[in-house]
Formats: sequence, C-alpha cells, structure tokens
Amino acid sequence: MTIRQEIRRDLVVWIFVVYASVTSIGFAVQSCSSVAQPPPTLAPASIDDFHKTQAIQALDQIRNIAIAANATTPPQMSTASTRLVVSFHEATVKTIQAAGSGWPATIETAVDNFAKGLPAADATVIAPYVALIDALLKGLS
Amino acid sequence: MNPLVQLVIQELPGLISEIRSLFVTQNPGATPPTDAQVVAAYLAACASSIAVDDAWLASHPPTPVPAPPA
Repeated sequence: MTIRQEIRRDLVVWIFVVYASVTSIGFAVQSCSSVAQPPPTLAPASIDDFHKTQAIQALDQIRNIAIAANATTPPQMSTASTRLVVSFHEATVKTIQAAGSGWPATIETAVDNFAKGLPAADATVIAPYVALIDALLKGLS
Repeated sequence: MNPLVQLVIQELPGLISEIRSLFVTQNPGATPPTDAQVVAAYLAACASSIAVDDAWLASHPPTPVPAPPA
C-alpha cells in the first residue's frame, strides 16, 4: 500500500467518524423534540400528510387510554366520558382530513376546550396525553 | 498548496461516496419514505383510527333514557 493510499484510507475513516458523530448528535437532538421532522425529499402536500399522521397518532393515544381506562374493574373512566372522548376523537380526525392550512391551531383549541369540559376525575386520566398533543401541535403551528 | 489539502480536493467526491455507502451499511433502515408511502400511511392512519371509534361506539350504545310515567 502506497503512502497516498494510506492517507486516503485514514481520511475516509476520520471523515466517517466525524460524519457519524454529527449525524448521531443530530438524531439525538431531533428525538428530544416532540415533532419528528419530515424527510427533506417530500413534496409540500406530503409534508402536510406527514404532520397530520403524527397528530392523528397522538389523538389515537388519548382515545386508546380512555377506552383502556373504561375497561378496567372498576372503570377508571365512566362510559359516558369515554363515549365523549371517542366521539370527539372521530370528529377531530374527520376535521383534520377536511382541513386546509392552519389546522394545528384549530385542533389544539378544540382539544383544550374538550378536556376542560370533562369531569375532573376523567380529565386527569387523559391529561398527560392532552399535554403531549398540545406540545406536538404547537410545534406544527 | 499543501499536498494533503490537494489530495483532499482531488479525492473529495470519491471520499463522500465511500462515506455515504458506509453510512447506508451502518443504517440499513434509514431510507427516507417516498411521497406515495407517506400518503398511504396517512390514509391508513385515518381509516384505522375511525374504524376503532366506530367499533367502540357500536359496542357501547348510549343507555336509553326511560320515558316518564304517564
């Protein structure tokens, strides 16, 4: 192996180490944010769908925890409140589907108002998930 | 010019492609999704999400309010 080839090999190794380190730090910083960044290769319409999918998945968590809390013995959430959560979830997903720009702020307000309207004990069950979707939607607004 | 700098300039395109191939080898799942995949995932999320709602609501109908005695 010539000196030139050795230098070239060392350069490849060192640049890869630096590249991998910077990429790892980037992923670590990104994972601390509640909003995953869409791939830069996507078209604007697909970026909107990417964000809508994230919001729907976060709303699913609220709905799923309500259903799970209702299924415990004794129920941690009343069936009436669970019905409200499930109906609200369905209406919100349909709103997101039909919405144009500015939907994150609309949904954020709707979720906050809905959570305030639930009985206090039931609102406590979904409170962490409401905070999660608030943070997500603020990141998208 | 410093021979090392000269070498880096000459070899840079090749180096970058080698580094990229190394990174892809280390991160086989890092291929970004296409537009079609993102749209398909969104439509699937909407459909499955609403299907769960409908199923739960169908299995938990509201309790009918008893009519007041005549």
